[in-house]
Amino acid sequence: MGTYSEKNVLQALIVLMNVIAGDLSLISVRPSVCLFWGLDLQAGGPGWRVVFGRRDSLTANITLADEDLPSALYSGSQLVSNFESKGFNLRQMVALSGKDLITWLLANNLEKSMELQQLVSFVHDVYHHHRHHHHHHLLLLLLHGRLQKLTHMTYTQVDTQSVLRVVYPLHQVFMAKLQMITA
Amino acid sequence: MNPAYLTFLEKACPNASATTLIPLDDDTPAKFDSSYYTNLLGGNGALHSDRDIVDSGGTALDHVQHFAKHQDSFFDEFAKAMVVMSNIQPLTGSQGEIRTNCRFVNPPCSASKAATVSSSLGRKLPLVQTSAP
Repeated sequence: MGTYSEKNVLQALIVLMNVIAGDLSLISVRPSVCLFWGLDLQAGGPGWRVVFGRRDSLTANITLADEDLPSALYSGSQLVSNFESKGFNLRQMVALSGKDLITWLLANNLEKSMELQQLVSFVHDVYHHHRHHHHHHLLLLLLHGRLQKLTHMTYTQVDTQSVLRVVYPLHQVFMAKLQMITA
Repeated sequence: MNPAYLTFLEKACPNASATTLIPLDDDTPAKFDSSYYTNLLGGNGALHSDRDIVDSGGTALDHVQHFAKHQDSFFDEFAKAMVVMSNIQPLTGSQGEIRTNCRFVNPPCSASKAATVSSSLGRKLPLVQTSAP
């Protein structure tokens, strides 16, 4: 394991965003465990083991998704229990709360003026259309803090193109790096 | 809660249905660092559940204080927690499907070749359709 610099974390997130998008399912259709790499894998950078060959859910289950999502009204201890039920210990839960990733991603990749619409659209899309889609459950937990606020919002219009503007640049970066690594 | 921060939040979000977004870590929203914890300890935490963790003390507060002081430790633990998260019940192998439109379950096989899409690194992201709601 190498050190976890800001750059490494960004690299991990790029991969995770693509896991979320389901694209890693194209690399291997067999269930297997592979290194979850940073871009510096060849230079001895950090790697993590995750299950590979991810696929999308055959069902959508609103009730189950809602049961699992942390509520905006949770107490601290309820939040801890919610994360414990997903296999996180207390320390990991506190660590995950330490960065508002959506704002961070947007601030680093997108024009400030588009931030509101893109964020709302993106989270709306995940929350309302990907119900119990396991990859997106991952994202929902990742963004639990942001969702605590957003789930109380009223959604009127969704610009799905905005979602693409968030995900697609990350996808392109990832695919380029992947081809470099596998070449 | 820091009164000045409360005033800031009340101004930014004057009503419950507001769509205003504020960074959860007000100081450095574009930087990946541990300032969230120092903000939280200073009474500048936006989320009730997170403030509750600090107010309740105990081990969780210990972690907050530790991450506030030791950014490397935060990065290390964050990465580990991300891996835990990435292993929450993923569907693999013969489970599940590869969606043609990631927002929807594929239609029955006779109506779509989607489920048998083959591996291709150059494949574009399964784009959502602009006509979708």
